[in-house]
Amino acid sequence: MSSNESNQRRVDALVLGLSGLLLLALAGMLFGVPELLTLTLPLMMTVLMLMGALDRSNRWNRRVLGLVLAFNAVSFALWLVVTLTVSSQAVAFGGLSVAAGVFVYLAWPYYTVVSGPLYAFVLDHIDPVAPARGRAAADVPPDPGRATTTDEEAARG
Amino acid sequence: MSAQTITLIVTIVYLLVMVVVGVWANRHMHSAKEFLVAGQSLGFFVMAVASFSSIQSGWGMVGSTGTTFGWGVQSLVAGPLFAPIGFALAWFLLGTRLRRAAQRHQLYSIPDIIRVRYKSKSAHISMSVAMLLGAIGYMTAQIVATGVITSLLLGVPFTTGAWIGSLIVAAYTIAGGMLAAVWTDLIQGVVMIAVSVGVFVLALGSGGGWGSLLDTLAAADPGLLSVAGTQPATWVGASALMIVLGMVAQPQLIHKFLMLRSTRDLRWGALVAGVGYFTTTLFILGVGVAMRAAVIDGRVAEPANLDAAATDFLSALTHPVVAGLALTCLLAAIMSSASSFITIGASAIMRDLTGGLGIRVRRELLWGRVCSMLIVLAALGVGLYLDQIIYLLGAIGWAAFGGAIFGPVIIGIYWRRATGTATTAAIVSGLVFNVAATFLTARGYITPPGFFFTGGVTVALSILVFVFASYVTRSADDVRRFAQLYPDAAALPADGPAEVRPVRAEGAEV
Repeated sequence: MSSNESNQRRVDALVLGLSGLLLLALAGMLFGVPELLTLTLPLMMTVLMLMGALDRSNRWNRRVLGLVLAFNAVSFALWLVVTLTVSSQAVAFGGLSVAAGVFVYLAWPYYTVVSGPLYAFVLDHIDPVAPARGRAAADVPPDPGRATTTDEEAARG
Repeated sequence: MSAQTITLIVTIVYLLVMVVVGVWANRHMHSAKEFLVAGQSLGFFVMAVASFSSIQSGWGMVGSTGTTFGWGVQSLVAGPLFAPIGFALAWFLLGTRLRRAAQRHQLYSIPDIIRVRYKSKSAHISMSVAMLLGAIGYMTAQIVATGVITSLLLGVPFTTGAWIGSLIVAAYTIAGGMLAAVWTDLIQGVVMIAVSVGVFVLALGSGGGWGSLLDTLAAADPGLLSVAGTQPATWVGASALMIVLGMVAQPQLIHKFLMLRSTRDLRWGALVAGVGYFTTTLFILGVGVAMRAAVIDGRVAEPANLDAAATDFLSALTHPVVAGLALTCLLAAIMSSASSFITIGASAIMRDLTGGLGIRVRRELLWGRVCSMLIVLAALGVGLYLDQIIYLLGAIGWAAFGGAIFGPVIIGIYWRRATGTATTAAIVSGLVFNVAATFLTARGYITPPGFFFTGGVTVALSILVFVFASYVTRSADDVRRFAQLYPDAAALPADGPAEVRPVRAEGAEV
């Protein structure tokens, strides 16, 4: 098996993983089991982020992989607390229920502040035209075979 | 000068600025490329701010403020709180791959992506139809919100307000296309951020501070402060799923990636867009919670419906000048989304649908403008006819796009096994399920359990149909087309040459 084939199988596995999680989430939505959503949604985020962190050859850089997994481990821990307390209405965390407090005071700012810089780091490692290197904009030449009809072309007849 | 006069002047100046941007953009408009993807000329800041402001629509600023008032903080958990991670996922998944494909194949729209990726006529046509229906549906929510806000700002009836607001956004979009849309999005985004912060502070002050507001709500109904309150926790979770996965698949966001000037401009976009959206969510949180506390305290009368919560709060509890500025901010949120959908809908008719049907359109720019007007008139007709709250209208459009686009585009640009047949199946099943469930429920033919949320089920179901159908209908042709999407990757020998490996990779690869 070539490494290209092996790398493609990594995407196959991620797609299958996402599908399995979606199936569980769908069951939760159809049968009214919120825990099936609160446990699968952060894992779906992990799978999608891992997919987006693949480089052109569908490989992960070790540092990228480590950071993405660390980010998502924190995310999953927050959702785990929510899962354990989702039904409670007791006001116990900053004037909110525990689950609502975890979302409003922790998860919301965490996702807002940390996910953007994480992407900036990942981008530097996954794309050969690294932004920090100041390479020119034209990453890929246009496909000469692609015919388009613009107004100028139309005017020229 | 009276406060009402100042409000009117602020509003008119704002609307004039939008029209001036449209006229300016019109002078740079020479081809469909400029009209549809702003000449692929956007830098990171314009692109990022335009991304968040086109996502933060009347649905969010007016609709979600209303549901936060009605349901409490669970309304935020059901959607706005997860928008920042949605933006990050969009940059992760679309950033480099979509940009590479867009430059290589001159992609101007989502159906363009489908055409190049799958070369399937049915997939191309069904995606074009989905874009058209989704754009009109989403525009309808904006039209209703425009009517509410413009009528208050100008003191005219709702219908007149809807016409005035719609025609102004139509005027600058038709004149300047996507170039006008993104530059007005930038101005509107900055206005939204500034006003949201100011109104958030005022809203907290109106009820004695954050802690005091929460105490008032807790005394009246602790459910307003929990995830499982007015709506069941499953309903809230399903809505969050729809927002997170659906965000990546919103065409007004995907289009921004097609307009980007350079890969280098991707770097900080996710952060800027996420922080921008976070800031404007403060408006929703502050006004929603403060209005609920004010109603509990008896300082303000119960609004006629949830959509009136934001405007009633501003009218009753803020200075008229502040209210005027805030209403202008809401108008900005609505118009920034509407302008994108006008162009996307126009592209779906004039370029994508005709292309799929084999009709050659010559004067694309002219027809783009004609189709833009048709989209506005269609949305006006539907918006003035329907009687739904803004939140539900917006959710229908969001789920329709999420279901139709996530599998074929997001998974499709990574997964070699994705097929054109699966694309058609996912789009059709998502649209049919979404429309049928909404219609049958609204008409009372079916009564789903209270925890059932159509939007979340639509998105999950469509993606699963896409993956399953791709396995069932897999073909060597689709695998080959996937390779052609990234010609550089297709040219790789089995192990890939060293020069295409990440040049800054300091860690080993896995």
